[in-house]
Amino acid sequence: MRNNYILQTTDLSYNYSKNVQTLFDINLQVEKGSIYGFIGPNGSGKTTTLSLLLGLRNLQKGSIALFGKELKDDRINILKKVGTLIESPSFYGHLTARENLNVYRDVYGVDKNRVEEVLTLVDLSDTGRKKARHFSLGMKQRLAIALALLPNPELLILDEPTNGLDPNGIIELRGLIKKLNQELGITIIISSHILAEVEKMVTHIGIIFKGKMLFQGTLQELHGFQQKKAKLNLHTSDNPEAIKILHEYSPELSDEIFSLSYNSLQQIAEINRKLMKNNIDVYLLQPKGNNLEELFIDMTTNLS
Amino acid sequence: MSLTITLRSELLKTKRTSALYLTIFGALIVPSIKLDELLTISQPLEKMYTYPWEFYYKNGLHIVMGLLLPFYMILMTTLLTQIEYRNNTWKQVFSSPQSEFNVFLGKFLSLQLLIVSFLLLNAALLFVVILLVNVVDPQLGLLQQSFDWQQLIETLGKTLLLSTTISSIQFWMSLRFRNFILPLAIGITLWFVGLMFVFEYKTLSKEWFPYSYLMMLVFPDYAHLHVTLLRNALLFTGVFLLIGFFDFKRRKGKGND
Repeated sequence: MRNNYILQTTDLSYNYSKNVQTLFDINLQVEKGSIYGFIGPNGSGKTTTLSLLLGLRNLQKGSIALFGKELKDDRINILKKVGTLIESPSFYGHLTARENLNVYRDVYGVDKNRVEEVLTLVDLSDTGRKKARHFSLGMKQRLAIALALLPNPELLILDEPTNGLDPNGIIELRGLIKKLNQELGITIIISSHILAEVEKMVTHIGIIFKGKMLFQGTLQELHGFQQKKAKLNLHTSDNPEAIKILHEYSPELSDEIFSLSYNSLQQIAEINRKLMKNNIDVYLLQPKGNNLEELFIDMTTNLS
Repeated sequence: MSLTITLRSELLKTKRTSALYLTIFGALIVPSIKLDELLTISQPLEKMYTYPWEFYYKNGLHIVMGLLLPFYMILMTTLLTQIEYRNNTWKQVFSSPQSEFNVFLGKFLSLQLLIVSFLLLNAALLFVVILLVNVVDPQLGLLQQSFDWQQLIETLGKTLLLSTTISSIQFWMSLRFRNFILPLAIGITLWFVGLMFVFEYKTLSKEWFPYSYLMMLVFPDYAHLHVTLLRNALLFTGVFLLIGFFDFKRRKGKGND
């Protein structure tokens, strides 16, 4: 079973101090060849999880398997197949793009041609003697990705790679990530605190909030989940009576309006008919916006 | 093999850094002052020294060993470890396929290589200065005088061995503290205390104070203690490297980079 996933964590938990637990039983399952969006608001535990996956923090509870092997048993060989970009782009500002890659060339055991290949892939091959600290933010991000791609990785872990990028930079990066996945078959884990930013490129989504996984599955499954979670806002001439009539939809009263769950547009018409039949005037009948971003906000605010 | 790869990677990082410039330009300081002294002095040189090659050591290599080298090492360890802190690259280093031991040792060895380069560059440039002086004043006949190479090799060897103590202590502190001022300030203070021990508090036992060792090597009064100093230096180096490594590993595991 474990072999179906390029990465799998089992009951991963972590606490920074005795009284502050950051992660609770995280069970990540990343399929080979997928683009896995790891989504959660700032401070939800994304970077802690990714740091554990790379062995940057000591494992306290649970287990991590990459390429079917336990990370703690074969960390060095596993990391040879993983490209990383954790938080901000990290490279040596006093070196050129080429020199930066040369620092890690032998560490990953790749030849000089690979350096040129990745520089071309991220469009930095003509930066010559320009030092990395003089690069624009987009170029810095691309250099960090070039570094992550240097080992010819089977798995790429990108932590908030769109941070600080302008809209054009985000579009460029999105294109590059899709290209790496589709043309080179690299499995990619990309973390972000903005669902809309990764929604257009991922195949799978994992939503984490306050250290707990709220959802994990394919993008289609998330859309299905979203449908189940669709809400309708209502305001009538007699809200308590309307709630009684519509009890099968599990209505929830808040201030002057109440809301209930629905599955289809036909159900909205049916709800309206029921109220009319009982002589209740309908002042408001409003399906709540049901895009993924709102679902994400709903999921994370309901628990906060 | 993997340690060689890590060492090469570490050395590549020093390109165009102040650590490298300090090694090269720092090695010009004493030879330049020495050259100026020898060319501008009014009295005949042979009257100032017991034997002609003595001025290679006196106010030359001895100044490098006792004063400049400790100061250089304190600065160098800070500059070298700050390469990672300043560029925020520790996470990249640790997520690459290198063991913590190799990263730690690779960095320490690259530091040692720079220290050796600094010392040898000083020793070589001082020779150039002496030869230049001999060209200006051929009466000195230095090239006709024999030079005790064995003494020089022995002195340089002892200097390097004794210096590993300061470099290992400073290395640990520089990895320990992200704030570069702290290891720098502690190092300079200890170095100053070390000098006071040698010059002012002559009766105090200094064999257990590593920051005095290099200055003690310079003075013939302490020649009888050389073996003790070398033994203590190796002991201190081993202890501080072990402490440094376990602290480095522990802090990395907690994500304190």
